[in-house]
Amino acid sequence: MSRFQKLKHQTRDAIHRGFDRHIRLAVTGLSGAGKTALITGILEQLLYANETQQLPYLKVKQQQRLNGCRLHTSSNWQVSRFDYEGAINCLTGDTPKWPQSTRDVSEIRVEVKYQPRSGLAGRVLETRRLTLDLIDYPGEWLLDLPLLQLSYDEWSQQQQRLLNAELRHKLASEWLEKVNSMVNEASEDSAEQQLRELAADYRAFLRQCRSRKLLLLQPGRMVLPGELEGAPALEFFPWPLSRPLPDVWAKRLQEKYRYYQQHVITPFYQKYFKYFNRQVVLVDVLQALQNGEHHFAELQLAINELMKSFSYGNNSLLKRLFSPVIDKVALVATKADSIAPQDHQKLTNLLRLMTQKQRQELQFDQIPHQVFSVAGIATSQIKKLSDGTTVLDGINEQRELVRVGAPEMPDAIPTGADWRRGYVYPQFYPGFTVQDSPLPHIRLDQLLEYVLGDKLK
Amino acid sequence: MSDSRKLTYYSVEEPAVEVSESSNVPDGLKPEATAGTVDRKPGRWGKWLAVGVVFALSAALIEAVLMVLERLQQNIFLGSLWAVGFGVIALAFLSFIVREVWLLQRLKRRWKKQSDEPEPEQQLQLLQHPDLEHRWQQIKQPYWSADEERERFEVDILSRVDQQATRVISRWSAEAAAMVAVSPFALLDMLIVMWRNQRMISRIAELYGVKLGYWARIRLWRQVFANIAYAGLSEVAVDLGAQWVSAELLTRLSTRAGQGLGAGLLTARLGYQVIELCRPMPFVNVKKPGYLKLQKDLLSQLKSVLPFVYKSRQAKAKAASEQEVEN
Repeated sequence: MSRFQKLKHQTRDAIHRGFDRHIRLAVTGLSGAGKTALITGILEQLLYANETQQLPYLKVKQQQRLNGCRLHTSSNWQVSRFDYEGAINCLTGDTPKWPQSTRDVSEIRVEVKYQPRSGLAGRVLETRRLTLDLIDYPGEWLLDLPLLQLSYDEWSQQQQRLLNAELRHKLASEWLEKVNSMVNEASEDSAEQQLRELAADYRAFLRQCRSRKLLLLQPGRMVLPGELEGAPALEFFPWPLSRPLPDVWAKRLQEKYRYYQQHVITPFYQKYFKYFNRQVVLVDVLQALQNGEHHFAELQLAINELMKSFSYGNNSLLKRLFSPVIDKVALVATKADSIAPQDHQKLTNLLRLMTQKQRQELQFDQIPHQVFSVAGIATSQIKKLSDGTTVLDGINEQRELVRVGAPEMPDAIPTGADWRRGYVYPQFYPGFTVQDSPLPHIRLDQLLEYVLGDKLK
Repeated sequence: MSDSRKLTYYSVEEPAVEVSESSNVPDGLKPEATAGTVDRKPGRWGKWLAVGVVFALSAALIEAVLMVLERLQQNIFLGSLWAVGFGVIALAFLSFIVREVWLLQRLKRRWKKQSDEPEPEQQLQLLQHPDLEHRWQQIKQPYWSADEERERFEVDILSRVDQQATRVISRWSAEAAAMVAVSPFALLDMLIVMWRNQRMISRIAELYGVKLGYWARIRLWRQVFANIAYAGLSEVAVDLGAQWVSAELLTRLSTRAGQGLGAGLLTARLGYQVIELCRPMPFVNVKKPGYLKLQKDLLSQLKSVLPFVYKSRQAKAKAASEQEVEN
């Protein structure tokens, strides 16, 4: 890109931001929460908005003021483009499947053209544009953001607390023993070698945790290194023991930790996360319920940690230009297509209970927020048997059509006996063809109206 | 309790209906549930009026019987003719009453429904708008909760009926205003207002799919008057205040125009009350139709009618004076 072009793009973006015509939507969620599906769903609904009756809640469309939406080149040419077409091909191909889990950052820009009705613009302008940036990234990396605010010692303490939990302790026992034995032989000469070995083992432990569906795994790059595969920047680990850390190790570990903070997390944050002004927090409540009490608690903790690393507030003109903050938050329970529609309210309530603390804080800061239960791409069909039982028709992993009775949903956060009985939810796979476009969704129109509606008046 | 939860699988071959297509929702009407909200205690005057009507009716009845008897004594043929005549009238009156009671029952049910949880599907059938039914089928999503369904029904379907009703109101009240403004004497004014209002009520009721009988209409009128008197007093004060301030402009026009505007506004107010009574659910997500646009309609209508009237009057006066001169 020539320098002039780049300048042009940047100026245009700045003007858009200044006039509040630019939304950078932070789709925040841990890995497996359905970020890619949601982004694909949003794009699908926006691009086909004028050809579907599926968006009654989107006011701009319902009032027939939407000229259309189209994909646009992003001004950040270093970031790969979100593979929307690839995702759709995956979902509607010969053997439809979910898009692969995200391994790298990608970005996509949609331009919405509409006829304004209110304010000065409504009197002066015939049409108006709104730019929407959607960013997809591996959920694992997101958990690095809280590290920016923690020193090495603080982080270690936090991890020690986590390691006390039963499952983690079991998985880590080998590594802990190794640390315990090696720390006795700590010396200046062998430190480098020892730490590298222990870091590799720590990484193996994290991967094991991941396969057991644990969520709060830090540092995220150890789970999914991206371009950092095998780099020395990853040769560190939290200090897991209560006995003091020997100085020869402490110096090196802290150095690596600081390096990781400054050269891995900070650029990631600066590049993608700084300019967000709207946020959608995706939470896979159903998966956590299915995985049990421990996972559920960890999910709650992870959301708590995550939301701390974003700044919320109201955007004034200067703030919009130089350091925008998130001024509206949607808390979203995903995969609502695996339960009966009459249980959607319960799902929403559950998420409301889970995020009570965060919501109170948002309330205190007067940040508008709302809770939704959504499916970016709905893969099940709701039907009723002759005896009134609600069933869900969907496609299972073996590509067979199955019919599942609506699974049980708890009314509140479950307690002891409920956890022992466990919860189980069907996992549906896409079974779409090209003719199904735009793909079905659940309540995306309400989410879009909430996130974009006030800018499309 | 220790058995773990499992998913129940059903055979795919088993017949199942898609939720969005299910229209045979059970009839959830319990007529006795809210009868109390419909019956309003008759006022002191209402009671005396009823007593008076009963006396007058019984007097008329006795007189009619006496008359028939008298005629029978005078001439058997004439007397039986009278008897048959009265019999036919009585029968017609009876069937009229039966029909009105039935219609009244229907209206009662509708009122009941307004305070009840409304079922969009049932209401659609009542509205009898095939295009709206089609539209509803198009936008309806199977995953909606009852609340969402109701919201969408109001915003996407009912609001259109409301729009039509508002258009009816603005047309009929403008007509009433123009007619009253033109009409030369008071009795005609009253008759016009009565006639236009009656017609407007039945038009609006038709839009919402309620057919009103005479008694039901009386009932509606009473309800309307009661509403205006009881709940609407403050509203009237506010609205009229605003309207009269802008009506200042009209002082250039004659008092007749003012009278016409008043009649139009009252008709419109009546129309809005009728909408609220006929609408199957209260206004929740849709803004209540207001008077702002209506006033403009009324004024423009009057503006177009009145100059014409004055010109013709002036021409007549001129012609008369010329005649006088000639004489």
